[in-house]
Amino acid sequence: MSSSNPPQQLSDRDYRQFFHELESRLSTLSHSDEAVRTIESAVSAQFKKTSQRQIAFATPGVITIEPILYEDVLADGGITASEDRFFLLQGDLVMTEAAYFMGERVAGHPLFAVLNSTCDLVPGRREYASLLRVSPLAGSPDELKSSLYHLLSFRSRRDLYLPTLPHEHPPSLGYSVRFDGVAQIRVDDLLLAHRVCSLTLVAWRIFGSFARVLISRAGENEARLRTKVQPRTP
Amino acid sequence: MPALTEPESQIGPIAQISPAATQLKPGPEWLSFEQFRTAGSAGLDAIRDGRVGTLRTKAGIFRIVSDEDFQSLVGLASEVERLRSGLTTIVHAVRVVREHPDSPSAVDLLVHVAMQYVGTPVLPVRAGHEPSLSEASDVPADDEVILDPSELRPEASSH
Repeated sequence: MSSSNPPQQLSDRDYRQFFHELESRLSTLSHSDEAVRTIESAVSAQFKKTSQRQIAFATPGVITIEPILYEDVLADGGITASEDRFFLLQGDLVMTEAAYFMGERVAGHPLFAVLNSTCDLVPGRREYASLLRVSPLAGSPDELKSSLYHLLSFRSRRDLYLPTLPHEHPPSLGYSVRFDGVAQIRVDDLLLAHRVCSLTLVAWRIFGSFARVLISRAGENEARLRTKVQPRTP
Repeated sequence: MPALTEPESQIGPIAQISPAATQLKPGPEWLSFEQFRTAGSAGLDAIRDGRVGTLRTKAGIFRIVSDEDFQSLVGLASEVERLRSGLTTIVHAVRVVREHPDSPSAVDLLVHVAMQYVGTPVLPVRAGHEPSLSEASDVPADDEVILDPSELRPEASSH
């Protein structure tokens, strides 16, 4: 419906000024990898050797825990009955054979980490969810050494280290969450997946820091090159 | 699907559908919830590898499957939509041939579409994640890395 009083228009210069100022305010927020660099510097400052980091991350209950259940959280007062009921949480490790990667269904009891935010996982809110592939660390001793050193330095932006899982017998050297390629699943199927473990608060923040970097990370030159781009006239 | 007709060496292993998921067999049966309760968890031991337990209560009959079998069934069920889509394509191709029976192109289309499903009882499936090493970098000479998981929690593994 058209209005008899069209909205007052600003000049092109005013619009450009508005968006310039908006970009300035977002420049330190939207593509920042400060969270990941904080993880990297905190871990390396506290634990000099990879073995120390392995032992720290393997401390029971600091990174992975048994799946967080709605009924338990409700009983403990961590959530009220008026809030959404959850069936799984962001970062949960799940086993499902109903996820697809590059057009193929992944069978063979594969592990995935739930990438979507928890609020997207409420039944009926979204139709599809995204998963990240999770694999146990494997390789020759030399390969394992190199992988563990690299993963636990937290310099990788492709793989995130997870320690052995709760009640895993025998314990393993850990797992790698791959932030390279996203599997898809219908939310209805995901809600029926086998939950392997949940992440603690700090692990959820580490996971979120990596997830954010997956979506938006800027090299130093990208803002510069975009600044130089001039609109083409048709 | 094309991927299934290619040599395995080019596309990686092709997962086999768990027979248990498609060949469900009757397992233990409980005639009341009380009988189920008193039998305890030992009564559930036989529920695996496709065996389905049956619990008969006043509220109705309930089937019990292992989580492993359940996940296989959910995975298979998720393929129904893909199969339905493929069958719709074949039906469309058949209609084109029916309306244009003398058209070689229409017949070629039907043959092409049908060939995609010949000998492929399931759509492309991969067995787990393809093995690939995590990113790595050279380990400094003075670094130490634990390769024996029992050394991560020595006091825990001694208990």
